[in-house]
Amino acid sequence: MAQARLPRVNSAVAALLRIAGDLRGLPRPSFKARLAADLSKNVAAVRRRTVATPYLMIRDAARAINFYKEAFGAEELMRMADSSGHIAHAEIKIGSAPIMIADEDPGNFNLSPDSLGGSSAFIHLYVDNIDAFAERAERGGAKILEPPSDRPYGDRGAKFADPFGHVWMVATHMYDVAPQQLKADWDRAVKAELAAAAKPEGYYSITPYLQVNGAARFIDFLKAAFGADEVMRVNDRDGSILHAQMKIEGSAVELADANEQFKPNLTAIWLFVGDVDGVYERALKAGATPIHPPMDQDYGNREGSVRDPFGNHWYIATPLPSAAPWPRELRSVTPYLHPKGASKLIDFLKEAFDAEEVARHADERGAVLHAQIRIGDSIIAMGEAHVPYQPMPPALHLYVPDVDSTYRSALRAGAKSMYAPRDESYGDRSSGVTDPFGNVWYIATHKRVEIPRMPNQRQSALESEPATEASAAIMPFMYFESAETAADFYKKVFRARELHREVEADGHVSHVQIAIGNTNVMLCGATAAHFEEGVAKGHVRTPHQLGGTPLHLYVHVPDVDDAFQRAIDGGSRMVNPIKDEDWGDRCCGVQDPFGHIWYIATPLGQVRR
Amino acid sequence: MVYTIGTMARRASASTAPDREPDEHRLIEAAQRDTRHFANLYENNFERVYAFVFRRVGDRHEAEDLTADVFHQALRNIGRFEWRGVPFAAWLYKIAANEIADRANRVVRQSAVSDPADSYEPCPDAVENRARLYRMVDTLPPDQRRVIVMRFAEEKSIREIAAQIGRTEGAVKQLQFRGLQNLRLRMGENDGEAKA
Repeated sequence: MAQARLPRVNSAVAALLRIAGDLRGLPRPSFKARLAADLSKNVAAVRRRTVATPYLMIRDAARAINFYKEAFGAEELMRMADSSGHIAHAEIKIGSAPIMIADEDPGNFNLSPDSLGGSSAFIHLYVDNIDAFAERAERGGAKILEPPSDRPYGDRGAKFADPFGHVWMVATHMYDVAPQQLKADWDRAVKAELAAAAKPEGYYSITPYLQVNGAARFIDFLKAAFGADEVMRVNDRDGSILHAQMKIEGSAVELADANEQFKPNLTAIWLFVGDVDGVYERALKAGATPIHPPMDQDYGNREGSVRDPFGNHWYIATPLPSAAPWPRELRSVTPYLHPKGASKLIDFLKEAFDAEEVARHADERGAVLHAQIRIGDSIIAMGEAHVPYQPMPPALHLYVPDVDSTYRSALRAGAKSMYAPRDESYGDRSSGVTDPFGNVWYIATHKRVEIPRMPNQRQSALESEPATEASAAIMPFMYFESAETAADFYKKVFRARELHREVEADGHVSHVQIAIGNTNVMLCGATAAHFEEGVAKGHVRTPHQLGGTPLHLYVHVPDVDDAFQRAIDGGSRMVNPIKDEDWGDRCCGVQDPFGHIWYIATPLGQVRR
Repeated sequence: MVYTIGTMARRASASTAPDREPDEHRLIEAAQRDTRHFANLYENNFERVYAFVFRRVGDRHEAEDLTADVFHQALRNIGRFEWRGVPFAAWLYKIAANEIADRANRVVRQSAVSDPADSYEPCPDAVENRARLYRMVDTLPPDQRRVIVMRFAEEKSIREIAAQIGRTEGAVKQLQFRGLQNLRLRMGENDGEAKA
């Protein structure tokens, strides 16, 4: 339509008309504002639909709301209380997180942690600054269960218990971690845990095992040259050393006298120390011969090397301060191999032991000049054999999570079996293989000795073996007119066992030692001499003489009802009837015919009904 | 980076670029995390959707109903929007086209007219221009803006406007003329071409 009129007006006016035409659809600002308001109402509805809001049941919700304001910086949004002050519903906001609160109402199954004895749901909350939040929370009376710390999933988080029994996990998100990354980290941690469990205390995955002629002298050399500590030594009957363990700079070294089965081997070890020059000098003094005096190497170490009197090489090294740090798995004692065909050996290690290449430097023909290969938490280093470093295959003790499967994969990769996995008396399951390069691998999995669960003390009293006379526990000495009669009574009532009795020349029984459960009790007969002496000293009296007893004995028996019946039948007087007590025992009190007072009990869990 | 509704509104009205906001992706993500941030997307796209719908239906009341439907539906489904580099407006246009078609079908069933949805081709450039023009009204001096809004959005006569704002009809006409001229200049400037 506008087109039709165009020829009749000038171009400026035509443009204005076009603008005016387009403006016919100009939306009303009031509509835009109204729709925005409608949308924001719906935003709340959509938000409510997509968010699960914690609804906390609390004993004394009013006090809790104050606490949350004070300690967590909460803002109260609404509160609906009845005439008695009982809060039927309240809402607070911490940051932008809504939280609903009500006073507990047991009649409607709304139970607070106080009633339930704990809470099975935590409230997880993101805040802007967890450290500031934690400070305020602690000041406000929250109990810090875990102080703020950086978590591997990108949060800095802490855990609190409020005084009302609810547990809060509060965090500030620092950075995103991809789910795949989280899963990979988790798997690695699980693997590391398995690997750690498969090693004895103080061991890394790889430990060189040096077999020498003259192990005792070798131990002396290691101490003198490298300040090694002797951890253990097992001698054979002929005085030779079957097995010894040393520690050098925190890393284990094992050794033994060579014999028919375990021939002497030569090992090259890369030894990291604090003072390379000092150690080098000490090694020479202890009998080593020099290979190279210490000098700075361009790969980042100061290094000197020696040959010990048994033929082993020691490459003594200190990283130069300017150098990039070596991988953590490069231990103070790191085996150094000089194989012919290093790249093939690396392939073997990967296939047999799931090894990973950490570093490899090769010359232009591909020969490996230096490589670092990680197995478990350790690294072995190697370089292609060349003059003067000819192959000197060592024996290496390798701890793996599953010796049987690693043994199989080693054989598949081309190793020869020395012995198949077997359970050793010292707690390992171990096997031996020789790889195609002559290296000996003792593959082992350490079997953790199961530490028995600490038994309930009361239960152990019932199940334990009779105590010996030399029991270390406190032994009460109890005084009776007749120790013999008392012993008979306690045997019958408490199933006591007699351990020992002392009979005087005249046949009078002066002492009977009995055991009730694992507690020893000395029953003392009041002999004439006793009384004369004791009364004079003022400290030997029977309850009857005293008219009572200030010492009550609490004893656990397998069946309190039965024991109570026997005690009463045997002439005791009831002091307390049998009752299930809130400290966890079914218990009664009796005064025995001799005036002593016993509380007899059976743990509630073991009461036969 | 934090966007408030206020800064986004300013950004939208002062925007001279006809294309989508460069940080639209972040706005969408923010709205998906927390629907309160949907307000930003609304501010940025209201005029576009309205222009799109109005061009199709040509009726103010229907355009308002449809625009409201489009944004309510977008809010409900924002979580399902997948960013593939396509402007958010394209998604809104699709919702709008569906809504228009639905409405047309309802009408078809009643009046047995052939499907009119096919007879319209979406014309994003024209829509974009129209939306830009609408937004530009907000940048006019207040008295010009008032007259333009009353005249074109509220569809009042010159006489009604004069009575309401207490000016002469001549003055109102003058304000309208200056407003239109301003809009033409600004549209021209921003287009970088003269529309004669």
